[in-house]
Amino acid sequence: MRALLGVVVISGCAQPAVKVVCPAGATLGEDGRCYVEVAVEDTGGEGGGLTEEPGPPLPDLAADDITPAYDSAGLVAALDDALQHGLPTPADMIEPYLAIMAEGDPYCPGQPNDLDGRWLLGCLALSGAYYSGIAFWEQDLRAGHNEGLSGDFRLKDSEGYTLEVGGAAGWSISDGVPRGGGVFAHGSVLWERDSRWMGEVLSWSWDGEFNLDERSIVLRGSFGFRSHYISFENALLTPTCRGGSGVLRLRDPNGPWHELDYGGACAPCAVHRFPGQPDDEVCYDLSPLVEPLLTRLEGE
Amino acid sequence: MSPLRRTSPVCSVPPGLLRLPLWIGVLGACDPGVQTREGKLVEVPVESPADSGGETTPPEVEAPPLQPLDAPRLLRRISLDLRGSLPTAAELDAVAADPAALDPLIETYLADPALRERMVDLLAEQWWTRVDEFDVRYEDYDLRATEEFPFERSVGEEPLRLAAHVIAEDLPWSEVVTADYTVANEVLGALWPLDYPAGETGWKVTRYTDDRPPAGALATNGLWWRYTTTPSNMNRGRASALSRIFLCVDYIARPINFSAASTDLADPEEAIRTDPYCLNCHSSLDPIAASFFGFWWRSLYSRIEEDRYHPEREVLAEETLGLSPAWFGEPISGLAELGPAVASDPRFTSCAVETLSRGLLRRPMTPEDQAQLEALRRSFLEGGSRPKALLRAILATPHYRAAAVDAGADAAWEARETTARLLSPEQLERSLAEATGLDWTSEGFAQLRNDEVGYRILAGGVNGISVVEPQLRPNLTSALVTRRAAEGAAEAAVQAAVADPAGNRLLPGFDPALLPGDPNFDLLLQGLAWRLHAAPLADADAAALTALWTTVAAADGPEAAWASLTSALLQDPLFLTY
Repeated sequence: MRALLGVVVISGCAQPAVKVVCPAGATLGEDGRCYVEVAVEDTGGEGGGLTEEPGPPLPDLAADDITPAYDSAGLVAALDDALQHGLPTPADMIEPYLAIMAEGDPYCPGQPNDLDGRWLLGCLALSGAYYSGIAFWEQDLRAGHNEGLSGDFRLKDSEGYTLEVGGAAGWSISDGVPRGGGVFAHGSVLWERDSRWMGEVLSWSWDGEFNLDERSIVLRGSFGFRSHYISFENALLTPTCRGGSGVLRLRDPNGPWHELDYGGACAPCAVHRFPGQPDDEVCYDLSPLVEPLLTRLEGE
Repeated sequence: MSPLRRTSPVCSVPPGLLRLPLWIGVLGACDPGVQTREGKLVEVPVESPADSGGETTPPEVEAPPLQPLDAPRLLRRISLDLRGSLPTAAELDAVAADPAALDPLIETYLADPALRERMVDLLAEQWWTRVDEFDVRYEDYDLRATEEFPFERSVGEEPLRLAAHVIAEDLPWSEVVTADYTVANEVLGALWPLDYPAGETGWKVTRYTDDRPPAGALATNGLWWRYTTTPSNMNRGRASALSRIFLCVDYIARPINFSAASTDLADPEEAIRTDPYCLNCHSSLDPIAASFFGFWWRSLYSRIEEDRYHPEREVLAEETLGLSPAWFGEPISGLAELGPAVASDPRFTSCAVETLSRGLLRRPMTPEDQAQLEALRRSFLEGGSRPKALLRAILATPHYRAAAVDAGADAAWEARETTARLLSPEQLERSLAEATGLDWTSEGFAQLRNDEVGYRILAGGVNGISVVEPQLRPNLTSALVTRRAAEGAAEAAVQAAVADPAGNRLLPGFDPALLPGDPNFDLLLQGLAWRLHAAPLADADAAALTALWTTVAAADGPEAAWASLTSALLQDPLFLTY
């Protein structure tokens, strides 16, 4: 048997009220659809075919549940390790950028704050600093503090330490009531002088809003540094909440993610979820993150 | 009415639910109700095997009206397909004396290291990763201009090399999407986070050190540098590429009628989530895209963004795309479970059969090929999805071995079958290099393998961006390129023959003092044609070539005459096709 003739709907399915005109070779059915005869071949196959008769079995590649590398105590220790220096802010990227730019000269890179594209392939300043790529820095101190840096660049300071960035980061503080603002960062940063987050490439993709009067910050997004991968989902952090709110996730070394769900309000402990494992409870205090973050943002 | 047995090229559905299969890949966008596993299904009348008194066992493949190649020309075809180069004269002699010598030679070719290289070339025509430029360029790594071509080819070949490794080692095909390793060379090893052994060279099994999950080619930089994404595309193009490459289901080919959509497309993200015409594709595409957020770059053109996997972004899919990873309705955790999901899909196996068949038959598959493909698929599965068994099976089909369509056969056969296959630029390059020693490079660029300073497209090749189908018939540009290649190769061949007459592979025993009429002259000429064409030289052709030799020798000497004669043979359709 080579082929069978099938009958196929090929049009007329868009708008019932529309008059259907069938293409050449097709016929209009009583149901208002166009039909065309086609050769229908049998391709068989277990699970994907249209017959009760299975073809040769497909490989069974169902992934087994992965055992987590961390139990609850291990998870807390891993979080302590990951967050021992707190969290990086845009200032941790912008400060070394401006410091290296200050080592430039009128020819290389030729501008005090930006790389405008003329040095895509790099230039060496008299100081020994090196500049390549494109970068745009801006700062506005009127009625608050707005500052940001974006670009795709690689710099070396006069001692040969590299700062490499692909992405953008910045924050803004409004001098209103309450006093607060927003912060964002996305992309990757390598800063060889930094031993906390950026020495082996920091990858971040996050934003947040903070209230300097109430000393609170809401975090959303992810950080990756020194083989720690951590993510926040609407995590409202305050110094007085000895726990957290929202969701905190940490990637297990075996791949899947641990999820700590604090719920919508401040809670000292979170429901701990891991794929294939029973839920349990983990208590982890995120409040130590708040003041260093706000102080860093506020101080600049 | 019994249901048909058929794997839909678009959506996998439970047996018995959908009674009509074939149109979906072609006309899939027509009816929102028949598109996805999740969507409603429309039953359409269709004649079934039971209705027509048909059978339920695998379809028998009718003998097609095709005449087979003779053994030497078949050996030449197989050698070019498995090794990319010509058989030796001794191999040709062996099958000419006894066609049964063919099978052992096939096994020799399947074990030849050149198989790996050839499979890279074959897959490159369909995976389209061997492009001339990526977002991140060689300058971004401070490489020299002469390193541009090795850099670009290394990147683009990474996923191809992984697949070629699976084929050459005869591993289960699922390894292509589940392997916990990649295959990289010293170029990539020096640039990317790989544990490539320091001080070594060549393509080797190696592993990324950036905590990316094991997913074979789906976890390679090379694949996703080629199929990049943007903040708004959010990996959907990558999901589409996965579907095309590993399921042979091309979302892009679906005929979408946007004008018929009821939704205001001014808000595409909303339309994607709610409009049935958009959901046609996006209901299955977007959950696959959600698996790739570790490769979701927030800054394009940045090497530290693009050469690393970003595990911390895996969880951003739900927030940014609004859904969780899934494989056609089946939830998965992400990239780590994507490979097994792909490999367990019936279309994955079918697609492997189609991909290799297409590459070896050098033509698109048609509905008329379905019975043959199904027979191959079954034997492939029964053999544990081992690629070499599939290669053997394809090489044994009458379609592969066809020399001509029977006189009097339906004209459709003539239109569909590729009884004479045009050498790809890569086959041309390897053949000429092996037979003549020609090394056609310029400024570090292999001239038949790029289009920046080369002639790949002009010679009929695929650049993976604007030209995605190999040229099946000669045209003016391919004729010009092959002419120039033939001239260069002929010159290289004669120079090599002069330098080492005894050991020369193409002109063994070359002696410029030989003259027409001398039996050794005729032997040399016949041997040259035999090696290049796998066919004896006709008397008239031998006379014409001898006359050419005489004319050129009188003007420029015997070496130039042999070069002209060789060049003529290299421009012959018997050389340029196989």
